[in-house]
Amino acid sequence: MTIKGIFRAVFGTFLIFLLLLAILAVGLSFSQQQLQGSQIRKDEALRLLQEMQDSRDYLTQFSRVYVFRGNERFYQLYQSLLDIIEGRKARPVYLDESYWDTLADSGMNKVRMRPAVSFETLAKEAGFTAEESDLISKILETGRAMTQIEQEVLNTFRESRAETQENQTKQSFALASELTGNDYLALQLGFKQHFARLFALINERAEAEMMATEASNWYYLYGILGIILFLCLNVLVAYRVIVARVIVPIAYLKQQTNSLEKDFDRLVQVTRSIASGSLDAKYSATTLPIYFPGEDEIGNLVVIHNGMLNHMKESGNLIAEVALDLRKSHEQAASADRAKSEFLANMTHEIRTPMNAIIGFSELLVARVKDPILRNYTEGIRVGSKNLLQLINDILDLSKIESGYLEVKHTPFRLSTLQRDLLQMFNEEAKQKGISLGFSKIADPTILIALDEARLRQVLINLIGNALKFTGQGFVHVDFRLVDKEQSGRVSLTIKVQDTGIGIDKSEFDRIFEAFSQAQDIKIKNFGGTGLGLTISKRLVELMGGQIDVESIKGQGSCFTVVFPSIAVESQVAHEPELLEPKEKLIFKPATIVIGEDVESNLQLVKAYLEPHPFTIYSAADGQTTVDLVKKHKPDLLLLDLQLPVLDGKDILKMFREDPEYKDLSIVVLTAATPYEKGSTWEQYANAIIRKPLRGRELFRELRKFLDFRMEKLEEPAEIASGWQPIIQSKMSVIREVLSEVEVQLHGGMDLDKIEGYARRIYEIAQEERHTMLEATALSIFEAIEDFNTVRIKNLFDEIKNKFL
Amino acid sequence: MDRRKPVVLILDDVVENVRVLGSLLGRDKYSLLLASSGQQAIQLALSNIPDVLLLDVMVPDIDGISVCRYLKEFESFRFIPIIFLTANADPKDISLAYEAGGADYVLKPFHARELRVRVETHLEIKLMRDRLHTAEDLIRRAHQMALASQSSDGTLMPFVKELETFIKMPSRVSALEITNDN
Repeated sequence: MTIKGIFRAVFGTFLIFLLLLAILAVGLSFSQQQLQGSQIRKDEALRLLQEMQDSRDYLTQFSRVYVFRGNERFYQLYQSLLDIIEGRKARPVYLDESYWDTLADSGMNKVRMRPAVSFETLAKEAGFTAEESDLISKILETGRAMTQIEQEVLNTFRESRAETQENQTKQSFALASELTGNDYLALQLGFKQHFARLFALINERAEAEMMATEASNWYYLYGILGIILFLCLNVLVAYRVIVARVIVPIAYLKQQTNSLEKDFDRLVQVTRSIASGSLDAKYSATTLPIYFPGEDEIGNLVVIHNGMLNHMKESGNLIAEVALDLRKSHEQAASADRAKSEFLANMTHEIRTPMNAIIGFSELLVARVKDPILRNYTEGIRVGSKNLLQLINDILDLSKIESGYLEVKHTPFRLSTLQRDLLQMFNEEAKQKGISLGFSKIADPTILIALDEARLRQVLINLIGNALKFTGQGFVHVDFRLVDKEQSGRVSLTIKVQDTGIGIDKSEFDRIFEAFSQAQDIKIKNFGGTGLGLTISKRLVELMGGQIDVESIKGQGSCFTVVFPSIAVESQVAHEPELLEPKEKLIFKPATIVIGEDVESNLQLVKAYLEPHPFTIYSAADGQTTVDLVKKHKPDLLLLDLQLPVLDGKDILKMFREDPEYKDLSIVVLTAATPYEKGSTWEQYANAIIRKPLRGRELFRELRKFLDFRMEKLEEPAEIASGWQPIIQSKMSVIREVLSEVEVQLHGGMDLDKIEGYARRIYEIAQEERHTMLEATALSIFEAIEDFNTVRIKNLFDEIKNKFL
Repeated sequence: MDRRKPVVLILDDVVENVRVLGSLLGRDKYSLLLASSGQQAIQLALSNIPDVLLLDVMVPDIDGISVCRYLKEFESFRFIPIIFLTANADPKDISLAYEAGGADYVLKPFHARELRVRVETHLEIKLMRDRLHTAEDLIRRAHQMALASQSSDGTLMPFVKELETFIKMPSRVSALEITNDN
């Protein structure tokens, strides 16, 4: 049964009971009226009877008084009264003194009168019972009998009255005795007895009627009370039913719905957390389904609730599945990423090994080849392979940064040392291009700051290299500024690299830090480079907790600013061996060196580097032989490749370090391994690590740490400028003419034949004037023409121009 | 045929590439014009009229294809072979290069001998075409002379007709198509 049905039933019953109640109330009031009516009737009947009795008494009285006194008035009263009784005359309302006065005076107007009706008729109309009527007719009979006696007496009295006055008293007395005689008295008594009886009867009857009415009143009352009771019961039952069927289920449902809501919130949370990447989040609904009997409206709600719960459970399961899938694919992606990085690392290692040979041998070739053209070719190979190596390193770096493998190690170092290295590195290039390269002085050169020196160096090499590359004339200035932070023992470091180069358009500021963006800009493509430098620099600076920014005006120059807001400082310095000055020559004392290297070309390269020095060198191509050689010759230094057949370099390191006899042996490790292996155990066993491809400068920098050496000053090279003597005016104007023509020519591309013609004219002048420097330059131009090196041709002509003009 | 060396114009913005190309061809065989920008290439080409042009496609300022398009506007460049050099092997770009009037398209990195042979082949084609044009000119002139002298002697008539047929022969592919349609 539906709740609507229940309400309908309750309401219907209520209505029916109300109707019954109304009927009963009407009945009650009706019976009350009846009660009152019977009372009134009884009163009226009693009054009528009283009137009859009184009238009779008055008749007796009037007749007696008249006989005794002979007053005519009483006779008249007697007659009037009789008339009234017989219904011949109207009667006043009240039976009192005024009544009689009225009757006597016939002043009928003064008193309200009732219509003239005989008492007999009245009695008949009053609705008495048969017994009562019987008595009344007896009363009336008795009354008439008494009236008859009185009439006789009165008539006798009136006849005799006229005859004598003297006898009158006697006669009156006689007549009066008649009216007080036994007969009369007997009648009077009977009359009164009848009345008494009648009164009693009527009272009895009225009593009985009232009793009956009252009883029915009580029934009505009981009925009403009963119905009210039923109503109360009805309300109570309805209340109970509503509580049981509606309120309790709804409250429960509400509670469950709240719980469902919480579940839903959790589901949403779990979904969000999964969406945001935490794949371990799990969901299970805590709300239970509701088992309610019933097919009412709440039953429907329950069905809906259970449906929702089911849906949520399904969603939960679905989410769990999705999360599982995600976790799986995440793991797959992670392992793929690892595989990619490993592949990259291995591949770059594989590439580095042959690159090592290429770069190394070309370095050696450059030093040995005398033929200028061949030398140019060799230099080309060397530069090309260096660039390729740079590209490989850049790609590897970027991939490491992208995959989060790269870690920065903050170790204390001197900014001044870094500055000197950078200057040394770029000085030559700047000089060649005629650009002034300047570094700002550092206030306290002994200050040690904790940053990853290698990474900072990488960034600055990139920035300064770029600045030089994109600057045709003017200057490149590198400004270092350390600012103390109050009391914290920390400093902020700002490095600005400023140039007067081609500049960068404002719209490209963001793009230049994106990978490979440079290559897309066709205008600066001819400056070379991988286009990864700035991307890597930005990531590295950010990894070290800094920030890199650029300001630039197109065509006027750029300024790259690197800011590290907070760096730890150690101002106390241990003495470091001075770095190799370019004008000094390194001379080693004789020493024994064992080399463990399995790649033949690499071994030859190392040997070639060491050849000019007084070293005794033993080499082995596998680990075991290396160990044997060390044990046999007790060398001053072991140069060890990490990857060796038979016995791995890492194992050799460990073995020697754990052997008390060899634990102090100086071991320099040669490796192409990638930097993210840093921190592995072999690293702490090695005295030094040299990364392949091997470079002479780096090799000797490390060798100096372990082998005895002395420095010898190189002789100052002769001042070149002294060769640039002035030239006589007439020839000078020819040279000027030639140079201006060349300038026009060069502006519109190069016709090599014409250029050669100009160079020949200059060469001829140089020969005529015996100007050796000019002659050398002209020969260089010929050489450059044969090499088709347009940039060098241009530079050489510019050089002549600069020297003479 | 005069005995001067063929003139080759090389356009590449990377010095190393110019050096390699220059060494490949050699100054003993060719007279070389070197340009490092499109602007320079156009300037050099217009003032020297080279026999063959080697253009790098990706160049700052004006790219090789645009240079080619520009030069082909001039009547004197109509039959001068232009060879494109590029690392881009996209068929779309290749067809773009031919549509611009390029004679050949060489992918970097190129093989020395192949490039040399290609340049020689295009030079040879050019020489032959030049010879052909000269021959056509001569024939035209012969035709006119024959027409002028035909009034007195009727024996030349079949030869004049033959010459006319030759002159009316289509010399371009587009013209050939039109005649076929007709």
